Amino acid sequence: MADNQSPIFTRLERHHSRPFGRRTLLRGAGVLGASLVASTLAGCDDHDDALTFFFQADPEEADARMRVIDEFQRRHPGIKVRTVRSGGDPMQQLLTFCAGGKCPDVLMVWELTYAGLADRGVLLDLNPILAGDPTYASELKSDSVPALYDTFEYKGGQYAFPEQWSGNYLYFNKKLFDDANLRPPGRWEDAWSFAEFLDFAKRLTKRDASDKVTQWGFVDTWVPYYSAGLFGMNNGANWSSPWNNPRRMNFDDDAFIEGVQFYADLANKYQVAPKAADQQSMSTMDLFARGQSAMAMGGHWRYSTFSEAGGLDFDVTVLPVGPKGHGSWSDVGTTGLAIAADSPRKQQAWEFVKFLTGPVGQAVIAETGLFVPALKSAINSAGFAKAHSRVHNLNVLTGGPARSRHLPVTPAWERVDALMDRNFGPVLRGVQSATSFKTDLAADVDKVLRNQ
Amino acid sequence: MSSLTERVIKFNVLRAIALYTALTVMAWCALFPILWAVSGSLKKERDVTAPVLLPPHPQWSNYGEVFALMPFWRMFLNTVFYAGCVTTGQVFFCSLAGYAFARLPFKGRDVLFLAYLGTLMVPLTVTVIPQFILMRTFGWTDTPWSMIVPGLFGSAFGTYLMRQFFRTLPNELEEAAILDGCSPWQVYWRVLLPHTKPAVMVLAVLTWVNVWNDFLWPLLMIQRDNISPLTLGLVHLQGQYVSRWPVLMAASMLILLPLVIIYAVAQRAFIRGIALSGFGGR
Amino acid sequence: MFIAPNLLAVAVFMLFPLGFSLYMAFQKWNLFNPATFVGWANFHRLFTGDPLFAIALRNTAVFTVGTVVPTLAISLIVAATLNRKIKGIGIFRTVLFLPLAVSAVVMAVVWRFVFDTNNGLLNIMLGWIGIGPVPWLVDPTWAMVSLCLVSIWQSVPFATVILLAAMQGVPEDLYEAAKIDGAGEIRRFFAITLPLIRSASSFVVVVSIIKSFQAFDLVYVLTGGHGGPESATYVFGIMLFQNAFAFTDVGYASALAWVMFAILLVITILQLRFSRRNSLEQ
Repeated sequence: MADNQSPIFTRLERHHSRPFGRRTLLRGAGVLGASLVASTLAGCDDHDDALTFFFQADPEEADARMRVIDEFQRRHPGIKVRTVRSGGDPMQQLLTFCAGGKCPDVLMVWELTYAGLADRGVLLDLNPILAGDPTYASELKSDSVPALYDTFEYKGGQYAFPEQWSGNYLYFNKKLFDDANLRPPGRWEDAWSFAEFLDFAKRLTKRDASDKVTQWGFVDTWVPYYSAGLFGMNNGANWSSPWNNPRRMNFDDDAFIEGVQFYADLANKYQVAPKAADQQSMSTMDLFARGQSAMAMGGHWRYSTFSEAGGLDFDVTVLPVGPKGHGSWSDVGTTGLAIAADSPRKQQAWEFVKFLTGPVGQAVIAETGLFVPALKSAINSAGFAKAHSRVHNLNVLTGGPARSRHLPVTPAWERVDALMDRNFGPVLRGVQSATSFKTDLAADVDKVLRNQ
Repeated sequence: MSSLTERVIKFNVLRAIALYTALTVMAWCALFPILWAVSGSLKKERDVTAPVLLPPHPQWSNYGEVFALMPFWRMFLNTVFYAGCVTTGQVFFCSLAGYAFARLPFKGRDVLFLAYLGTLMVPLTVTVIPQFILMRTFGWTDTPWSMIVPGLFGSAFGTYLMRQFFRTLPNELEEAAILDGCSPWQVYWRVLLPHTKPAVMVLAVLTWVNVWNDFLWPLLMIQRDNISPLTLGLVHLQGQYVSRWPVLMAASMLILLPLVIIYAVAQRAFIRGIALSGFGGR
Repeated sequence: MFIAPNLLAVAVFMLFPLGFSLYMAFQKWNLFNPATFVGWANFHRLFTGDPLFAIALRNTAVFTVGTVVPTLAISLIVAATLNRKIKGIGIFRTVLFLPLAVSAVVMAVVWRFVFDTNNGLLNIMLGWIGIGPVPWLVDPTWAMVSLCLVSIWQSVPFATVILLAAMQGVPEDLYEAAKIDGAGEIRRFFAITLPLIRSASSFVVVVSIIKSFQAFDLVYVLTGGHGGPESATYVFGIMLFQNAFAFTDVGYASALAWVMFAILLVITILQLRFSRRNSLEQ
């Protein structure tokens, strides 16, 4: 027996032909170590002191956003801004981020969902800051559109300042309308009725030899059940009364049901709009952008996409009014900028918010065409008109904020939204009538609102 | 040749044909989504419907566009980093603990191990919310730590795997080493560890794949793109570019590729890992 | 000590969450404001006041059965076909086990492309045999079917690996004896193979049930975080995520998690008792 070698190793060599050499282990560890070091070095700028700004935007809209942000950084060189882009469900993401303790400093919030954040103490009440700067406060007050500003007031506190009007209206394809010799209204005051709208849509829907639709009369680029609700609203039924922190919704109102049914019938009964299945491969946005739809319902957030679509000549018009409605209205769609309550950079956040929602930043926004601004001075500015020179019916945009009706503001919106999705679904697909809201949806929603 | 032999041969041939046909059909079922994705990634957007597997003018530019639309390399490095850390940690600490449970007698050993086994039964859904809160308490939300530390020191499953394996090693190895005067650490490090290659490979591969493919946890923890892993990046990409199939398919294939390579190389360990990950308690 | 780091990790990341989650199930907490004790209220609401619980229960049951049963049947067939020593079987095995390496997220993105109503491969192939396009992901009923299809596609390789390993453990002489007695191939399969891999089959069933019950990644990416068209794919995993992270109602979500755990426990125990009784009969 070999004297230096321990007996184990000889026996090992007989049992196992390929032992796990230590060299292999070290080599493997070396590779991992190298990649570890490389990654860490590259990621060393983890905890920088930048101001984080959370927002959601389509790719084209994001470009315009960045231009405004760059403008801010130009004027405030000491403040560095890092953007956090939202995925599909911004509210859920915000809640998860803030619940995890890492709330972004400046948050883009929506009119429908911000109350949930305010109620949980996530957002900073901006009234004290305003109180400390009375000149700016009065300037802001006089320049604001009340409908937009008041939307972000909840239980006595002001939780965000509006940065845009994102209410809905109709985009239409000028060429297709001209070819059919049709002209839609150009101002909110000259509204058209459901019947007239349907007539136009029917005349603008074209089919080919095999009865497949080549051109739709109407597509919707918003959330279908919200749009259906808008048609209900334009039939004279507000979604809830009161609008701020309501205890019940008006979903079982006959006028509301009639409006929703009309919207659903567009796809199922009159076939002037694509059904959900038709929309799967080409989104409604693409349909309008490629000239395969005469009208598209949406808000200004679609403007960048449409204006960059090659060969699309479009204009805007107002939403139709139902038989029970009183004039054409849009929703007071608005997003605002809020500051996180536990942000360590409140002063910088305030500078950012003040810029984007104040007269200075809003003028910049108007010029870039990113949004319909929330301040009167910017809405009526020459810069805004110039940025929208291709739009003939500018009054639809400039008069929009004043012609908006409130949507409900409630912290329980997430649950209400889930219920709406479930109950509107069969109606929009055409397998159920909207009168079913009286029995299912209304009761469930009221229960949610009462149980807060 | 008698007619009986002829019939037998014909039957065998038919049987072979039937068998290979069945196998090919099965292989097609297993592969067609991936093949379709590859072919989709090479087409132009408007040709996406074309029912050809290999498009006449492959648009490799789609792959290039992936890098323009998402910080792919950054996310790739992140994922490698997380997977590497966790795998190394798991292998090391689980084999340590597995050895201890298998070979080192100490008070309460079996009871403790039973508790370990118990935790294997618990579904992920029960622990995910408290783990989220733990990360918040430590301040690790939106940091690489949240992706590494929970798995770094091993898991109950890994320990179980290693213990089972250590028990299969022959006792004489240890006995001889102890006779030679080795301490427990030396027995572990010099003697037994070199022979745990199969189990280590299995654990390493399983852990790597699990971390690479993890989705729910990054979804909850990670906000910033520059520490985001690949799976999260893909879902964000899909959210923004919903119907741009060629780019989405290209991104999917790029994320798939490293795992396919690992699978090709470490196939046996892979399969054994799957088989072992099931046989609990036997 | 050897096991200290590992034990610490398991205690902190498994045992503590387990206890804390149980504690949370009796609280009302939204992660921001202080928690309040509410006793059994969460469970009460779960069973009586929440229509979504019944929907999730039904959907999860349908999904589980719709995945596990076809998976078992298909993998038995596939494993039997792979359990041969013919030429090239290795290649087929490699190909058929490939889906093991891919992540649920990547596959969901790819399958969304396959299921696309107008551009997807499935509808194109159906078009060849003259069947009109199926609204796979848009219609509520078909959405659940699509979900099951992808889940089956993912689970079959896993089950096949285990069943194949078990089949390979069946002694050859049993087949020889049966062949001499004149039993055909199919009869041999049913009379010999199936009974002898019973433990592996029941194992596959249990693990598949546990996995399907908690499915989240696949559902979230394939049909969205709200449970698909009109809650058609609203399964427990989605319900938990929605309540915990979209509504931040973590007390309620924890109660749900424990109910899921309890149901799984009952199913597993029943399954064990069933298989033990069967093997006793033998």
